[in-house]
Amino acid sequence: MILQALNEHYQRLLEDKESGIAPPGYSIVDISFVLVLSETGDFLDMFKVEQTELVPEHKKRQGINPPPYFLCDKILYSLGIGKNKMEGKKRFEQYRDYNQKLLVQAKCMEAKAVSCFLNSWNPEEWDNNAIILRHQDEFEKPANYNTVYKIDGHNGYIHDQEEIAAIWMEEQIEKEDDATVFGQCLVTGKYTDIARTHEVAIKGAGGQPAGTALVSFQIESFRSYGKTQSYNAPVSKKVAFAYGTALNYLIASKTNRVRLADTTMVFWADKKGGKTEETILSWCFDPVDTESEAKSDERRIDLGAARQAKTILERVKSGLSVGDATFDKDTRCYLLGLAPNAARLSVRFWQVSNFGDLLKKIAQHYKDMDIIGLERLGGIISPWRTLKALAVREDSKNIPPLLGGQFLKSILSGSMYPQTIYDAVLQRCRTGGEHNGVTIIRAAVIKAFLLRKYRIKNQFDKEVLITVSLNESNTNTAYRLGRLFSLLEKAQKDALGNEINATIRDRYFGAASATPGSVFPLLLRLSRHHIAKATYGNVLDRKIQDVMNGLDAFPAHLSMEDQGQFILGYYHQNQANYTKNQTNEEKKG
Amino acid sequence: MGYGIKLRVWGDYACFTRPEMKAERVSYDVMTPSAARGILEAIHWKPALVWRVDRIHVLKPIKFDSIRRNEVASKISERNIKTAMNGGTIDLHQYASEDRQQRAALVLRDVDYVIEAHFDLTDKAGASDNSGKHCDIFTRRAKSGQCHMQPYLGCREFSANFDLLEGEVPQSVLTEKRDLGWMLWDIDFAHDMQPIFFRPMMINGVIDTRLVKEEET
Repeated sequence: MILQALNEHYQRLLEDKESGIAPPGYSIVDISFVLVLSETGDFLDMFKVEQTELVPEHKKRQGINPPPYFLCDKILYSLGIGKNKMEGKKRFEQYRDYNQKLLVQAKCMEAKAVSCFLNSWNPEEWDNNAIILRHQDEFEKPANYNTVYKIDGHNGYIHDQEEIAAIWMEEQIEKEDDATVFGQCLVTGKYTDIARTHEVAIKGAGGQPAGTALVSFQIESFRSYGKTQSYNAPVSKKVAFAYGTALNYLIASKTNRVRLADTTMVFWADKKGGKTEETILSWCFDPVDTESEAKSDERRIDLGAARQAKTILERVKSGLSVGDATFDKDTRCYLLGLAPNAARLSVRFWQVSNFGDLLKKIAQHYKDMDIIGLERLGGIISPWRTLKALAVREDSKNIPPLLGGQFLKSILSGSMYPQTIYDAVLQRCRTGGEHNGVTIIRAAVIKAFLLRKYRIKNQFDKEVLITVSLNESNTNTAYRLGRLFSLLEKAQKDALGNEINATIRDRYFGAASATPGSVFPLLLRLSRHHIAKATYGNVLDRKIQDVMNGLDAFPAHLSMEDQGQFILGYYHQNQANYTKNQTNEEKKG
Repeated sequence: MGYGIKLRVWGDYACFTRPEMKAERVSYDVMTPSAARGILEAIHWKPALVWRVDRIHVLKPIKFDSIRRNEVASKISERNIKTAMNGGTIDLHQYASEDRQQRAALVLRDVDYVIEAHFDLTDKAGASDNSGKHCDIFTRRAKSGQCHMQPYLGCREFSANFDLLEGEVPQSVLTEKRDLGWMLWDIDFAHDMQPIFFRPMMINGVIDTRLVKEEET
């Protein structure tokens, strides 16, 4: 299913001239240096470039005798530059012999020039070469630089030259001929030659920098029926190349990929020219306020598209229809969540939905997350920011594995949020100190979690009580206790000012939210003194009385669910205190 | 087919691993015919008969869940077992705790299937084998919950509950027509264990697993 969809997407991209995806036999790689040769093959100069370039295929290199590439390779291969001269010489000779073998077939001047250069180059003397010495300080990690060739006074790189490209294509066809294993391809169902290994390394999804594999069988327990390597999962060579290239293309793309903790999600539309849909989705998963986005250079989507996406999302959120002339809401979309595990990639989720449904699900998520105060953070909080708020010290490195994938999956499918998220958020709210306590995002997560839980379990009576801002008619004991705690804290602040070393929040919040019976009597006794001292003590006292009226007793302990209610009540009351203050000040002014 | 049987199997988890995603497992959307065959064989099988799965009914919605669990890196080698069988002294244990690997898996949750199948007698059938007898044996065993080994849903750790279904097949909650893509049909054990794939359509939760005669050969 996954490979099939990727394979189809590759075919679509190949037809689209503007996509810039690599055709069979080619790879898109970063090149760093251009070697300039004269028409007779003298080494004239080299210069640094920073660009990606379509070059003869770079297959996955592994083992003790990694194969050299054609006309574009790392400087360890193309010039023999490396820490170890013996190794450099060996690699260069392999590279030279392989390239000579192919270049001999060409009659053009360019092929002869490269051939001459390779013959004359002495890899052991690279550190005596004036041209190299001039650029030596530009090599930080010699292994990482790819080089290509150019003839002085001619346009274009040598691997693009017509005759040479033709030779390369022929080489590809010859390679296909020596396939020995035939079988049924599990992607297309055709009987064809089966790839022994899948040679396109998947890059950019984490894991090893050299790339990871989605399909691999390197350990004994992965194999079945005595089969080796990728014969365990017969995939034709063409498909193996196509799905890998398509996946790399999506991961590298700006509008088809979202990262969330360890999970990388790629998504694509199942039709030609699905760019609009993809862009809107991309914005929805990683919304950035249109105002502030000009500042960040990481911005990926142009302003117009972002504005359009925002309008659409807002409209869906408020329950209006999804329709828009620029996209088709019935477009089928694929979403694939991947996470690295050393040299392998594991699939965290895989979903096929139509675009309209997907938008509704995402809008529902943001709607569930809506809470008073959120507008100060831009109104829409991306899943990434949400998870970060739940991590220890708000450091994205501390987001537990699996969580990113599970969270995205629950957003996309509209199912309950993972329990681990709720547990984590309670934990963070309870503990004091820097980066802890009840923040807007955390309160929003608690609200969203409870709301969705009640909705899915059909507890309508509970669902209606969960509101965006303070709900004075909510009689849930835990919610009331949360509000009470907030008022008591305010009494303390009003009495003693903001410069208190340890507020009751710092000292008692954890205990009050878990075992109110043991803490509240003490707090109420304390509050008598605070109220007496505070400026508007009697106003506060009346409010406390109001809240207390809805309470029968202080329960000995609160369940996990009620602890969430407690925090929600506390947060709502805090926000209400804050707005009241503002109106008071306005009155004074 | 006079001797068709219907078996209902269900369980909390299932993982019909896709061959291309065997390392970090990803399940097929539904039970494969070879997994169904495995379940039937766990209840009754003899060299004299071969099971043919006709239809698989998917009764519950297809739900996926991502879990992480412990697996092992190696297998007990065949050669070691042969040595042991020939009387050699060799350690045949697999020490799971020393061979641990943590891997993620995308598995199915809460599955419920009805397998419709029949069997054919093979050329190994002797004079005492007849269809009626084997059908009775299967029916009796399935009814009373007997099996040679616990049947499982794709992986040993996801054991299957089973029950003989004698009435009508319950209506599935799935109502659309769905292309399931290329799926493993079975392994061709006679020809170098070549996997055979087929492309089923699920219509109202029913998958016809009778392989259409291959057009290409």
